[in-house]
Amino acid sequence: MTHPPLSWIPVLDLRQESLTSFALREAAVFYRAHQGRGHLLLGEPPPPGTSYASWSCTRPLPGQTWRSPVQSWEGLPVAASLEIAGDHAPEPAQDCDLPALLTQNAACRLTVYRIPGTEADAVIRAVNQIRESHPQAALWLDLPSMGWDAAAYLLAVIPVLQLMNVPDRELSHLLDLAEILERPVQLHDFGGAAPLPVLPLPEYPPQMDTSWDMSSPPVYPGYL
Amino acid sequence: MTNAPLRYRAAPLQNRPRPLEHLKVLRVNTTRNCWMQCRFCDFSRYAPLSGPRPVPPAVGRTALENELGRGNRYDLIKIRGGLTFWEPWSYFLQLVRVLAEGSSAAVQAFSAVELMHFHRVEKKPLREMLEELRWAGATSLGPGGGELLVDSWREELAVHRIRSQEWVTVQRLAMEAGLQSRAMMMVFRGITRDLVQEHLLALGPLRDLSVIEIKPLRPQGTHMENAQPPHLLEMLAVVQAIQDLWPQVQIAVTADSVSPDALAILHRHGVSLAYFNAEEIGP
Repeated sequence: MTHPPLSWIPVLDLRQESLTSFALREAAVFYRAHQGRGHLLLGEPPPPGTSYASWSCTRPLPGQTWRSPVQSWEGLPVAASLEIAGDHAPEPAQDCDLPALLTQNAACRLTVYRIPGTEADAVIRAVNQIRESHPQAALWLDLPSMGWDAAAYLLAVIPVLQLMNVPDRELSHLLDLAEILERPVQLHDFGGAAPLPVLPLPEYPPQMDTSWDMSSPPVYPGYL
Repeated sequence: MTNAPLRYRAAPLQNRPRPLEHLKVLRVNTTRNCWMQCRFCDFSRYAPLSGPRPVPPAVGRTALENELGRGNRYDLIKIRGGLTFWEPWSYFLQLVRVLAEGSSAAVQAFSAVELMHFHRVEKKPLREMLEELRWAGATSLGPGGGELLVDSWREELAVHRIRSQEWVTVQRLAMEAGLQSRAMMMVFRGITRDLVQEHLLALGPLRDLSVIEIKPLRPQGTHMENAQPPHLLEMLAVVQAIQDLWPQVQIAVTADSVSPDALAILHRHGVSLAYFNAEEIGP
């Protein structure tokens, strides 16, 4: 049985910044560094004349993807945030009922966060529970809070899960995981551009030190 | 033998696993110098065995007595170290004796590799040495040297280490002398299904085997610096393979060698012993 490729979606978080020319330049460099793919998190809409293929905003805007604040999931030891296509975003945006929103918007993206200090098995059970109660939702795991070990196990047992917020410097971990799960990795975003394959890192054999003779034990000659 | 990698079979977390027993361990390193130069071992600080004593003395009795005098309680004392020709077998027996008398912990003393080294150097019968060990207070041999009991693998990475059959024979003799058997399994990135199977089948003659310790390769400080430690999913696959062939044995892991998350997930797959290295004496 073949499973879907693992996604690598670079994310640039500009929610705390007003979109000055510096921030716009930062976004441009971010896109260029990731071959035109990537997702932006914004606190305000981009200025007129600037358009991004894949972005979501913490403010509900007509026709745009709204990203809910991260909030705890009642009854489960996890937190989550939702990304919903704009016309369905609730008003006001605070204190939303995530399970209810998820039921109303089956096609939205749900990112699950681990609450610091939560045991791995509790988080794993919580993710399983969300998956079973909302099988239609696209479920993403926030990698920095989840940690590689819990995330690897979850991806192995629930192949439809994907990882969000994988930092560039930890891409090698994602490639390692993909190799073990025998799944390819794709660089893409939510803008609809064709995904780009991410090739495995080159492998080198273990370095063998051949500077001295291993053919006989190095026994002190005077002993013999 | 094929190169097919060992793969984890996706399985839910066990609801009621055997409770995870935490063992507080005192590690006694006799010396980090060793002539064997196994590529995966960080105890292979090579010192040519010529000239006036080229290596520092192994851990001394005073250091041990000081540690035991502090009143710390341990569940297990592991004695381990490299192989040199300087201290005689009687020195190490004394060391075991001091530890066994000064503590109520189980003493896991030396491995089949070390026993074979002293057997060759001192020309003493193995049975006699094992009985002396038991007399000194050891409760089991260490699992050292049993990384992978696959001779082709050993010839490539540990050319001077004892053969698989020799390792099994020493463990069997230890069992006959009243010492418990301990086995281990080294796990590294890319470990194959055939290596794991062959290793587990080689343990077959150890009928009283009660614990298999999983040891992830730690390449730092070894001759395999650019090898990679195993992935958690590979360790889980090894746990599954052990349970398939040895369902009755306990599986142990050193907690310091894995993350807390990995330990929790391993526990929910059947690992039931966790060694915590509370203190380390020696170099």
